[in-house]
Amino acid sequence: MPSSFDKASLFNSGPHRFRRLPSGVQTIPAVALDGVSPGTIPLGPLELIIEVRGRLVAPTDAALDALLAAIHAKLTFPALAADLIDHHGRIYENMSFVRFESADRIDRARQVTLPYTARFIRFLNT
Amino acid sequence: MLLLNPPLVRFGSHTWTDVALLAIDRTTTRPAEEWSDAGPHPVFADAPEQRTQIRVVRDLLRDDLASHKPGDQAALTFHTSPTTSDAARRQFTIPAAVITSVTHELATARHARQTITLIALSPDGATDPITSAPAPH
Repeated sequence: MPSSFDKASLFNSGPHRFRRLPSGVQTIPAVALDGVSPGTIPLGPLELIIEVRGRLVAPTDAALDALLAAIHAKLTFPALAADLIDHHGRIYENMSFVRFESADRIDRARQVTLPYTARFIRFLNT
Repeated sequence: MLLLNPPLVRFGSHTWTDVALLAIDRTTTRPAEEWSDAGPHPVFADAPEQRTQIRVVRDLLRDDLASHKPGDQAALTFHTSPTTSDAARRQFTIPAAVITSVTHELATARHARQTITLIALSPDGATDPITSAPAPH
Protein backbone atom coordinates (compact mmCIF):
# COMPACT_ATOMS: atom_id res chain seq x y z
CA MET A 1 0.00 0.00 0.00
CA PRO A 2 1.20 3.55 -0.58
CA SER A 3 2.70 5.47 2.30
CA SER A 4 1.56 8.91 3.37
CA PHE A 5 2.34 11.83 5.64
CA ASP A 6 -0.43 14.19 6.65
CA LYS A 7 -2.57 12.27 4.12
CA ALA A 8 -0.24 13.39 1.34
CA SER A 9 1.50 10.94 -0.97
CA LEU A 10 4.95 12.46 -0.80
CA PHE A 11 7.21 9.55 -1.62
CA ASN A 12 5.16 7.13 -3.73
CA SER A 13 6.65 8.18 -7.05
CA GLY A 14 9.43 5.70 -6.39
CA PRO A 15 10.64 2.99 -4.05
CA HIS A 16 11.21 3.94 -0.42
CA ARG A 17 11.77 2.17 2.86
CA PHE A 18 11.02 2.99 6.46
CA ARG A 19 13.59 2.73 9.21
CA ARG A 20 13.03 3.22 12.91
CA LEU A 21 16.05 4.64 14.68
CA PRO A 22 17.17 3.27 18.06
CA SER A 23 14.83 3.52 21.02
CA GLY A 24 15.78 3.52 24.69
CA VAL A 25 17.19 6.10 27.05
CA GLN A 26 19.10 9.24 26.18
CA THR A 27 22.32 9.32 28.21
CA ILE A 28 25.27 11.62 28.61
CA PRO A 29 28.72 10.92 30.09
CA ALA A 30 28.99 12.65 33.48
CA VAL A 31 32.42 13.89 32.55
CA ALA A 32 30.82 16.01 29.84
CA LEU A 33 28.96 17.96 32.54
CA ASP A 34 31.57 18.52 35.23
CA GLY A 35 34.81 17.36 33.66
CA VAL A 36 35.78 14.99 36.47
CA SER A 37 33.04 12.49 37.32
CA PRO A 38 32.89 8.95 35.93
CA GLY A 39 29.74 7.20 34.80
CA THR A 40 26.72 8.01 32.69
CA ILE A 41 23.70 10.12 33.47
CA PRO A 42 20.28 9.11 32.09
CA LEU A 43 18.36 12.08 30.75
CA GLY A 44 15.11 10.53 29.60
CA PRO A 45 13.53 8.45 26.85
CA LEU A 46 14.80 8.75 23.30
CA GLU A 47 12.44 10.38 20.87
CA LEU A 48 10.84 8.23 18.24
CA ILE A 49 12.66 8.92 14.96
CA ILE A 50 11.57 7.44 11.64
CA GLU A 51 13.69 7.77 8.53
CA VAL A 52 12.31 7.26 5.06
CA ARG A 53 14.96 6.46 2.49
CA GLY A 54 14.11 6.15 -1.16
CA ARG A 55 14.27 7.59 -4.62
CA LEU A 56 11.95 10.09 -6.23
CA VAL A 57 11.18 9.02 -9.80
CA ALA A 58 9.85 11.32 -12.50
CA PRO A 59 9.76 11.38 -16.29
CA THR A 60 11.21 14.90 -16.55
CA ASP A 61 13.10 17.46 -14.50
CA ALA A 62 9.94 19.55 -14.25
CA ALA A 63 8.01 16.61 -12.85
CA LEU A 64 10.78 15.98 -10.32
CA ASP A 65 10.65 19.63 -9.29
CA ALA A 66 6.92 19.23 -8.67
CA LEU A 67 7.57 16.25 -6.39
CA LEU A 68 10.18 18.26 -4.48
CA ALA A 69 7.85 21.24 -4.16
CA ALA A 70 5.18 19.05 -2.58
CA ILE A 71 7.71 17.74 -0.08
CA HIS A 72 9.12 21.14 0.77
CA ALA A 73 5.60 22.44 1.33
CA LYS A 74 5.40 20.06 4.29
CA LEU A 75 8.73 21.21 5.72
CA THR A 76 7.43 24.07 7.80
CA PHE A 77 8.50 25.88 10.93
CA PRO A 78 7.15 25.11 13.43
CA ALA A 79 7.37 21.58 12.07
CA LEU A 80 4.14 20.09 10.86
CA ALA A 81 3.04 17.19 13.09
CA ALA A 82 0.78 14.59 11.51
CA ASP A 83 0.32 10.86 10.97
CA LEU A 84 3.05 9.03 9.08
CA ILE A 85 1.80 5.78 7.55
CA ASP A 86 4.15 3.16 6.13
CA HIS A 87 3.63 0.59 3.37
CA HIS A 88 2.05 -1.90 5.74
CA GLY A 89 -0.50 0.47 7.23
CA ARG A 90 1.50 1.04 10.39
CA ILE A 91 0.57 4.47 11.74
CA TYR A 92 3.13 6.65 13.50
CA GLU A 93 1.05 9.35 15.11
CA ASN A 94 2.07 12.93 15.77
CA MET A 95 5.29 12.80 13.76
CA SER A 96 7.00 16.03 12.81
CA PHE A 97 8.66 16.30 9.40
CA VAL A 98 11.99 17.93 10.25
CA ARG A 99 14.49 17.15 7.52
CA PHE A 100 14.69 16.21 3.87
CA GLU A 101 18.14 15.47 2.51
CA SER A 102 18.59 14.72 -1.16
CA ALA A 103 21.58 12.96 -2.68
CA ASP A 104 24.46 14.86 -4.19
CA ARG A 105 23.20 14.48 -7.76
CA ILE A 106 20.09 13.97 -9.84
CA ASP A 107 20.33 10.83 -11.93
CA ARG A 108 19.18 11.29 -15.50
CA ALA A 109 18.84 8.08 -17.46
CA ARG A 110 15.66 6.23 -18.42
CA GLN A 111 14.00 8.26 -15.68
CA VAL A 112 14.92 11.39 -13.77
CA THR A 113 15.50 10.24 -10.22
CA LEU A 114 16.81 11.56 -6.92
CA PRO A 115 17.75 9.52 -3.87
CA TYR A 116 16.81 11.08 -0.52
CA THR A 117 16.46 10.62 3.21
CA ALA A 118 13.52 12.14 5.06
CA ARG A 119 13.43 12.35 8.85
CA PHE A 120 10.42 12.46 11.12
CA ILE A 121 10.53 12.95 14.89
CA ARG A 122 7.89 12.57 17.58
CA PHE A 123 8.96 15.31 19.96
CA LEU A 124 8.74 14.45 23.63
CA ASN A 125 6.89 17.61 24.56
CA THR A 126 4.02 17.11 22.09
CA MET B 1 27.82 -5.42 -30.25
CA LEU B 2 30.39 -7.61 -31.95
CA LEU B 3 31.67 -7.23 -35.49
CA LEU B 4 33.89 -9.88 -37.04
CA ASN B 5 36.25 -8.78 -39.76
CA PRO B 6 34.74 -5.33 -40.28
CA PRO B 7 35.78 -4.22 -43.75
CA LEU B 8 36.74 -0.68 -42.80
CA VAL B 9 37.82 0.87 -39.51
CA ARG B 10 39.13 4.42 -39.35
CA PHE B 11 40.45 6.36 -36.38
CA GLY B 12 40.84 9.97 -37.36
CA SER B 13 43.07 10.02 -40.42
CA HIS B 14 44.32 6.48 -39.80
CA THR B 15 42.86 3.41 -41.44
CA TRP B 16 43.18 0.32 -39.33
CA THR B 17 43.66 -2.76 -41.46
CA ASP B 18 43.56 -6.45 -40.57
CA VAL B 19 40.86 -5.93 -37.95
CA ALA B 20 39.75 -9.33 -36.74
CA LEU B 21 36.98 -8.08 -34.51
CA LEU B 22 35.51 -4.96 -33.06
CA ALA B 23 33.55 -5.26 -29.84
CA ILE B 24 31.47 -2.59 -28.16
CA ASP B 25 30.77 -3.14 -24.49
CA ARG B 26 28.24 -1.02 -22.69
CA THR B 27 28.33 -1.10 -18.92
CA THR B 28 27.02 0.99 -16.07
CA THR B 29 29.63 2.39 -13.74
CA ARG B 30 27.10 3.22 -11.02
CA PRO B 31 23.87 1.24 -11.14
CA ALA B 32 20.82 2.65 -9.42
CA GLU B 33 18.99 -0.17 -7.70
CA GLU B 34 16.27 0.09 -5.09
CA TRP B 35 14.35 -2.39 -2.96
CA SER B 36 11.04 -1.93 -1.18
CA ASP B 37 9.75 -2.91 2.24
CA ALA B 38 7.58 -5.57 0.60
CA GLY B 39 10.12 -8.27 -0.19
CA PRO B 40 13.56 -9.33 -1.31
CA HIS B 41 13.55 -8.30 -4.95
CA PRO B 42 14.58 -4.97 -6.44
CA VAL B 43 11.72 -2.82 -7.65
CA PHE B 44 13.73 -0.21 -9.50
CA ALA B 45 16.86 -0.21 -11.60
CA ASP B 46 18.41 2.30 -13.93
CA ALA B 47 21.83 3.11 -15.31
CA PRO B 48 22.54 6.78 -14.68
CA GLU B 49 26.25 6.51 -15.42
CA GLN B 50 27.37 4.41 -18.35
CA ARG B 51 30.56 3.58 -20.16
CA THR B 52 30.81 2.60 -23.81
CA GLN B 53 34.06 0.80 -24.43
CA ILE B 54 35.32 -0.31 -27.83
CA ARG B 55 37.92 -2.97 -28.38
CA VAL B 56 39.55 -3.25 -31.76
CA VAL B 57 41.54 -6.45 -32.25
CA ARG B 58 43.95 -6.58 -35.17
CA ASP B 59 45.96 -9.53 -36.41
CA LEU B 60 49.25 -8.02 -37.47
CA LEU B 61 51.36 -9.88 -40.00
CA ARG B 62 53.78 -7.02 -40.57
CA ASP B 63 55.32 -4.13 -38.71
CA ASP B 64 52.95 -1.56 -37.35
CA LEU B 65 54.68 1.72 -36.67
CA ALA B 66 51.62 3.79 -35.88
CA SER B 67 52.16 5.55 -32.59
CA HIS B 68 48.68 5.49 -31.12
CA LYS B 69 48.82 6.09 -27.41
CA PRO B 70 46.41 6.44 -24.50
CA GLY B 71 44.74 9.82 -24.52
CA ASP B 72 44.59 10.16 -28.29
CA GLN B 73 41.16 11.38 -29.36
CA ALA B 74 39.60 11.19 -32.81
CA ALA B 75 36.48 10.06 -34.63
CA LEU B 76 36.14 6.30 -34.96
CA THR B 77 34.28 5.04 -38.01
CA PHE B 78 33.55 1.50 -39.05
CA HIS B 79 31.32 -0.31 -41.49
CA THR B 80 29.26 -3.44 -41.14
CA SER B 81 28.66 -5.70 -44.05
CA PRO B 82 26.60 -8.71 -43.03
CA THR B 83 26.86 -10.41 -46.40
CA THR B 84 30.27 -9.12 -47.42
CA SER B 85 28.49 -7.09 -50.04
CA ASP B 86 27.07 -3.61 -50.18
CA ALA B 87 23.64 -4.92 -49.17
CA ALA B 88 22.48 -3.59 -45.80
CA ARG B 89 25.87 -2.01 -45.23
CA ARG B 90 25.82 0.44 -42.33
CA GLN B 91 28.32 2.97 -41.15
CA PHE B 92 28.83 3.50 -37.44
CA THR B 93 30.45 6.68 -36.22
CA ILE B 94 31.75 7.64 -32.82
CA PRO B 95 32.57 11.34 -33.18
CA ALA B 96 34.87 11.34 -30.17
CA ALA B 97 36.70 8.22 -29.08
CA VAL B 98 39.65 8.24 -26.71
CA ILE B 99 42.27 5.50 -26.68
CA THR B 100 42.82 4.05 -23.22
CA SER B 101 45.26 1.28 -24.09
CA VAL B 102 47.22 -0.28 -26.94
CA THR B 103 48.55 -3.74 -26.16
CA HIS B 104 50.16 -6.55 -28.13
CA GLU B 105 50.03 -10.28 -27.67
CA LEU B 106 52.79 -12.11 -29.46
CA ALA B 107 51.05 -15.26 -30.61
CA THR B 108 53.72 -16.67 -32.90
CA ALA B 109 56.95 -15.53 -34.42
CA ARG B 110 55.12 -14.35 -37.54
CA HIS B 111 51.94 -13.01 -36.03
CA ALA B 112 50.93 -10.58 -33.32
CA ARG B 113 47.56 -9.59 -32.00
CA GLN B 114 47.07 -5.90 -31.25
CA THR B 115 44.21 -4.76 -29.04
CA ILE B 116 43.24 -1.10 -28.99
CA THR B 117 40.77 -0.10 -26.33
CA LEU B 118 38.81 3.13 -26.54
CA ILE B 119 36.15 4.98 -24.58
CA ALA B 120 33.33 6.63 -26.53
CA LEU B 121 32.43 10.17 -25.51
CA SER B 122 29.03 11.78 -25.81
CA PRO B 123 28.93 15.35 -27.11
CA ASP B 124 26.63 16.48 -24.32
CA GLY B 125 26.29 13.61 -21.86
CA ALA B 126 22.79 12.68 -23.00
CA THR B 127 23.29 11.80 -26.67
CA ASP B 128 24.36 8.24 -27.39
CA PRO B 129 28.03 8.32 -28.39
CA ILE B 130 27.45 5.93 -31.30
CA THR B 131 25.46 6.85 -34.38
CA SER B 132 24.67 4.65 -37.34
CA ALA B 133 23.43 5.29 -40.85
CA PRO B 134 23.36 3.48 -44.18
CA ALA B 135 26.91 3.39 -45.47
CA PRO B 136 27.67 5.59 -48.46
CA HIS B 137 28.44 3.64 -51.62
